Amino acid sequence: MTRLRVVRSAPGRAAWNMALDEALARSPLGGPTLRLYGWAPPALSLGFFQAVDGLDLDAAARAGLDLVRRPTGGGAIIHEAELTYALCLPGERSPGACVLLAEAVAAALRAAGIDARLREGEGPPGCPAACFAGTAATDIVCCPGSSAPLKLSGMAQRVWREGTLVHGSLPFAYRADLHEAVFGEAPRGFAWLALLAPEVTKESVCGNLIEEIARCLGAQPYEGEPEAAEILEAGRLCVRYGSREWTLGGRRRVEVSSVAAV
Amino acid sequence: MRRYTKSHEWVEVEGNRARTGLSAFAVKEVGSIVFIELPSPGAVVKAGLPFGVLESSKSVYDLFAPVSGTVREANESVAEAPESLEGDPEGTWLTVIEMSNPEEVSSLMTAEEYEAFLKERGQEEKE
Repeated sequence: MTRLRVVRSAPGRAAWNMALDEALARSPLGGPTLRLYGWAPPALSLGFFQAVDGLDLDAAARAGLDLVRRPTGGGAIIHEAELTYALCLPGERSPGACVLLAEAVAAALRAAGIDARLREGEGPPGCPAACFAGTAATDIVCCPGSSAPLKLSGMAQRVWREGTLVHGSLPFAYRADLHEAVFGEAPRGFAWLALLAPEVTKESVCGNLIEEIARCLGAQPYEGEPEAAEILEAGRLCVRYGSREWTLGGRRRVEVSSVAAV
Repeated sequence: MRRYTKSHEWVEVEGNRARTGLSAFAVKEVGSIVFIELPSPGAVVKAGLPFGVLESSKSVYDLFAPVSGTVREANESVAEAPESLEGDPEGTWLTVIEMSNPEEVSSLMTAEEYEAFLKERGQEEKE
């Protein structure tokens, strides 16, 4: 039976978080891996192609937010009180991994008593500045009472030749003033766990997530750590993710020469 | 004659230059394309290695150089309006590469071979 390595990381810096996720997704050493983590300090992450127009980066800096560009798509996210999950599938080009993970996350939330499901249909094309203001078929939504769907978690994906990475974010709390300062207005139509189910703990959601993702992959989960070579590679990648020039470059310029050296 | 890679790029050879694009299958599979980044003219690319990136439905995919050489042209109109690729992928070029090793083209698939490759791949996924 396939095994699923579960890596629970202490809250880390933004550049390190992105670097380690990429290293785990592209390295053949550890096999399928689910990494669960947080951010210290809190951070603002940008989608891979996202332009910074419309974002108040000064306000983000004043609020103490680290800044990073993700390797995955979608819009910006403020990572503060949340559970971040990364599904790393080295050796696989798996465009369907995002949907698989979304179904597993919805099931994990249902197991915690939250009426969560995938959004029906995709929203309009394009991508608003804030991830949680957007709609996608892989959004996890809930409809408390008879309200319109509220987005609980969103996912974004990167498919490399060497592997696939899916990022997901599940907020536990929300600060409207911080979102207004960075995005100009607070995203509407979304929810966070403390609002819906204050009794649900991060630990219980983690347990459910591991169980459901392992079930979807048909894999046996085990607790593990990154290999030394993966950490070394993450250290190398961290230089790029920590570069302000690279982060603020807007639409990415393709690094053909560096890619060719891989 | 048009040739295809296993990573779904096409090339059309014009002398020692190859005009490249993405197959209709690939464009349909990734869905609504919102961003595409192509290599700048002058970039040296190697067959089979990433030379561009696109984003669709919050998923980011690498584009692979179908042949080795130097990029001479990149279709900026596609970069500005990536959704245009969806209308006519087989008629919309992405780059023109001056080939450093034109013999690489002979290892790529003909249209008939690519069609058979897609059928085989579909069959494998069903199994």
